[in-house]
Amino acid sequence: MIDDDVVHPDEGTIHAWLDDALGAAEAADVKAHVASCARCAAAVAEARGLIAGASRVVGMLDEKPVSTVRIAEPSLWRMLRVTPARAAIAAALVVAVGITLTRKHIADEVPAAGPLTAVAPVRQGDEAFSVAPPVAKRDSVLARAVAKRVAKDNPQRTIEAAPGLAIPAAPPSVAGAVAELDTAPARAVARARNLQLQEVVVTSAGSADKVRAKVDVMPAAGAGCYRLEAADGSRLMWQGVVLPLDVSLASSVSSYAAPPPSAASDAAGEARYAVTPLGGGDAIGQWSHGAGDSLAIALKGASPTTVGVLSFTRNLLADVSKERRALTRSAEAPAPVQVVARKISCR
Amino acid sequence: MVTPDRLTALFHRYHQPLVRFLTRQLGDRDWAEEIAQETFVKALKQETIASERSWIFAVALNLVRDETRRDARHRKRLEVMRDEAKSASVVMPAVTSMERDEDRALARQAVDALAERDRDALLMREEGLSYGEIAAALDLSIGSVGTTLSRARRRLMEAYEKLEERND
Repeated sequence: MIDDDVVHPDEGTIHAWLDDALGAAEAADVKAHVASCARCAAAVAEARGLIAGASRVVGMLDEKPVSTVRIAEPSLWRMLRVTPARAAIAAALVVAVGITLTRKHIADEVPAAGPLTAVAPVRQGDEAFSVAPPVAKRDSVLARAVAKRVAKDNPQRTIEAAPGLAIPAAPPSVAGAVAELDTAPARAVARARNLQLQEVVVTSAGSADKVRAKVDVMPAAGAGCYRLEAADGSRLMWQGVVLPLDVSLASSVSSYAAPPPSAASDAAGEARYAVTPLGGGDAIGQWSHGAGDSLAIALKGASPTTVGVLSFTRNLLADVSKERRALTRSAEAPAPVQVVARKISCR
Repeated sequence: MVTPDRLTALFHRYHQPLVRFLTRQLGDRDWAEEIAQETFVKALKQETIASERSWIFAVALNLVRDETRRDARHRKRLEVMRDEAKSASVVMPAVTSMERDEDRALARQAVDALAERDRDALLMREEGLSYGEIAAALDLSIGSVGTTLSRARRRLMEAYEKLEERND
């Protein structure tokens, strides 16, 4: 295709090269040519822009999860009369209502684990699981469908159920670098609300010196950037927002930016969402979709923040009966998901 | 005959990207779910599936075309139903939702303005299909996939920017 810089790669070839779809020899030719040809370098830059732009426009076609702003209203926290214990309850409920880490079973496309930091070992199948045995049918498809139906039937109960809720005892404390958090409270809440959520085991490999609530994804995380991803490398679909749940911040956090795109194909860092304290001021955090379906979070400020992941899925869901039909063909319940938070360098 | 186990694996692997692909094609998630279901039913009846991802996307696309031809009113009815469902929905929109709806409408127009093959190739690529898989699903030569995609991306961006300017 290339002949001593006389024949320039055409636009299709450049796109194929950028899409990593050329053979090794041809890719090397294109690379060498582009390095020495200003015109083609400009064409490559333009093609990169087109690829990113087209991806963004296609992503706009997706229904975005629309947040039910209630959860971030200060009245919520006032209503809960936030104490550390109540904050934990609220956090548990929040996850029960929302967290849906939808496993995307794409075994042959498992992204490699992030190499940026060492990750503490992730334990599986130990006491955390025995405390919270898997429910028989917890396929996320059904869970989401049921959640939708419940939300439709009783849309205002999302948060109000919190004060009266019976919350199980605190999780077994886990020493060491890994905080393993099971979802017993979340599941209990789920039962109370007649929901059947996918069981999610949340593991933090961040600075896990404090574990205050089972649902904390990143207990006492300091300023910095983090990437959340499945411990086993499987792809997750994040639907929702990251919200600081730190008690000292809880009463001051009244708003957060729009939820992220649900599409897994959103390019890394294209959409950033700020977490803003009540009454304006500096954003205390920022989050965005990372590569490979991870979720990237940037926390600002000096004080440690506890971060939870919320999710609102109701307006993304299809009809329950259809989902049930789907389930008959996918009887295999997904394994619990473990999520690790890795500190990464901020871009 | 595809075994139930195999089908389960196929479902887990492809259902979500397929529904997203179809939703982007059709602009209607319920309809997309239906087509996806039908695609997996077809898979169940299949003796063997060689290149599963391109097979699934190609079958789904054919179903879309068959159905579009068979009954254009179906789509209209679904649109009406969807609008009704939306108006009955109690979800409180976030502040930016109106803006996002506008973006989505522009994106929809821009995507719809693409030639069918360009659109199919682009949406498949966005679901991670390889050039080989796209070529197989759309009956293209693999060498022309890059050209198709570059044209699709360029035209999409031109259409989108034009619509955006008109909107400003």
